[in-house]
Amino acid sequence: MNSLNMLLDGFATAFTVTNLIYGLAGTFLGTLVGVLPGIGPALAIALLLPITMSVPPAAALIMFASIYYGAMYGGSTTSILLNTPGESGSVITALEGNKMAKAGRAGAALATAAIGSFVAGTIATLLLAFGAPAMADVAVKIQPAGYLSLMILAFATVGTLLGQSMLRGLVSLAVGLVIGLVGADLQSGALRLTFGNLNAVDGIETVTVIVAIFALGEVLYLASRYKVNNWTVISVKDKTWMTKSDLKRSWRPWLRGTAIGFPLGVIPAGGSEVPTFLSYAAEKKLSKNKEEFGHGAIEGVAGPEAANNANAAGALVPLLALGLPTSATAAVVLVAFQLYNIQPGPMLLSTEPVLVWGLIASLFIGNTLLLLLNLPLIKFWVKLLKIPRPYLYGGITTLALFGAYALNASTFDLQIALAVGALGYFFRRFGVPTTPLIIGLIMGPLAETKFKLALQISNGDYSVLYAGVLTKVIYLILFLVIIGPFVWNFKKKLAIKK
Amino acid sequence: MKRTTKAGRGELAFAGSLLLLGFFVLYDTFKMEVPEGLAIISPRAFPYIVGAFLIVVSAGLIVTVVRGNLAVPEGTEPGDQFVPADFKTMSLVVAGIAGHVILLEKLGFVIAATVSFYLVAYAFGARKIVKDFGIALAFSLITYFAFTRGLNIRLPQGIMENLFS
Repeated sequence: MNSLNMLLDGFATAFTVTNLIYGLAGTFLGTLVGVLPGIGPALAIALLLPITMSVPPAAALIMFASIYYGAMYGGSTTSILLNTPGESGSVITALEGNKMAKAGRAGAALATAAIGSFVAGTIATLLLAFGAPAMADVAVKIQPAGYLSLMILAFATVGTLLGQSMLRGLVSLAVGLVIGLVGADLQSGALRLTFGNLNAVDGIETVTVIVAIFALGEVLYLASRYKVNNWTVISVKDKTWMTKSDLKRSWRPWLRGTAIGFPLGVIPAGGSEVPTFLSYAAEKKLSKNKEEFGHGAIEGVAGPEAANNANAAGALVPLLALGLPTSATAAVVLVAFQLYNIQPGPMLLSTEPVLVWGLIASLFIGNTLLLLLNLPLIKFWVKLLKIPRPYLYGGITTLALFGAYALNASTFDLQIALAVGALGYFFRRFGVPTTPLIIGLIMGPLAETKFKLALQISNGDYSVLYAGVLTKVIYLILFLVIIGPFVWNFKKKLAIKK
Repeated sequence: MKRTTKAGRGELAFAGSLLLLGFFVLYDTFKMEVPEGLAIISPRAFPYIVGAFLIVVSAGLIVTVVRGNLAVPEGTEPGDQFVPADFKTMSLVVAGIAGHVILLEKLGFVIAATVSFYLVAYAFGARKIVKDFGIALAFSLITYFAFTRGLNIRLPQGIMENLFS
């Protein structure tokens, strides 16, 4: 019952006027950027990280959490009406959602997405409220070597499960780790990869890299394909509400989506692509209306949307309890904590209870606000989709340059932004996912700290890195994660030969 | 082995430069000056691991590409026709970003932001000079005042900022 009391205290924190305003602003901004094609939740939060310089931690983190949830609502609108998903979790929604919209059922698709997100978000946040403290209780006992093994497992899953090929994901991770190396070594002060540049001694600013790789890289890539891109917005003709039969066909997929999405968010499964896809596959298999799949089946919108939201809440469990982000957005939220000199981890719940429980309570409030705001305001959001592309990209570029500069007020950061933007272009051009780079960049220095800590405890004996039971189990899982796909492919090849 | 196409050569160059970066990390770590007697654990250990990791995966990528397993660019399907990059549009975007970087601390945020907004919009096909400039300026002013007044974030000032405040 302790969690319940803490949660009620959390509501007291969240219901102060300042925090409510920041929460409301966050849900609005989050939906706004979610709707705009080209900006996802990770970028939206990264752009607003400079506010950590002037806004108190609780208010800022509540705002970021609201943006996180809001962007997902917005993202589903874009993928249903535009068929260009704003973020990776909405890709599957576009499959059936866009077909429904073309068939004049845009309103029903939007409604099942919004209500499904609300249902999944509420259940998953409840699971988060009870799951995070439980996980933290276990995690306090983990030694540095065990932590390091968990981080390496997270690296591997984020690297291998995203994108087209395992290798390209790992390339992205490796580049992120290299960028994370730049600057003075924390313990010895030895300078690494600074090229004698004094600005680089403090390391490359994480926020600058995030903003540049997401926003500048995307704009450059879209520019390179300027003549190929075209999109049409489908207008909403029907009422944004569901009929009885829609509801009947939606509620089971909502619950199944939640059940698939939440656990896959908790374990590092590399973001929302896998759970949304699994949910889609499950609904397709279980549906009585199989023939509708591919032509606009409402189950194919309801399930993945619920999975997407539950997954986002699930990703907050390891973030808050272990300090391990498993998606790009969670990684950016981790940076927000770090800017306040707060390191998420097992101790966080006991050292910052007001902050954490305020954050969790605000997720409930934000989720409800989103449902209340979004269905009635749908006409407004649809108008946003009609912003002319030149102005949209001009605005994104300019805001990104602001975000890259503002935190340190340094032109060096802007030069880095230009270089990283170019890197982001090449990543997109050559099918390399960007999320592993962000995870590597943020987690690399933390992993090095654990690495050194483990070795200091053992007085330099490297066997400590794999000595414990936990580390052995985790490295076994790691081995299976890496070897698994090969075995799978090999079996498939054998089957084809037969 | 499939013949590497023009697209494949670009990807080889990409993977090759990452391979070089990996070797450079090893070289830089080897050459690094380490202050003596401070840490039990050498600050070299972790960078060596990272450098080696980058070398292994980028070498793997080179092998993959040479064997004809080319990347599918984002937003396309396997088998879509290869579209060469539109360098004219891209260089306009780069010019907009570079212009912002050069002008920001000389002329202030509003002018720098107007330049980047306008050039990127132009790159993406905006051709109504007066309207486009007006929107770029309005956007920059709103961004400037929202962040400096509303959220107390400092941005470089210039003529425009002083004119409006």
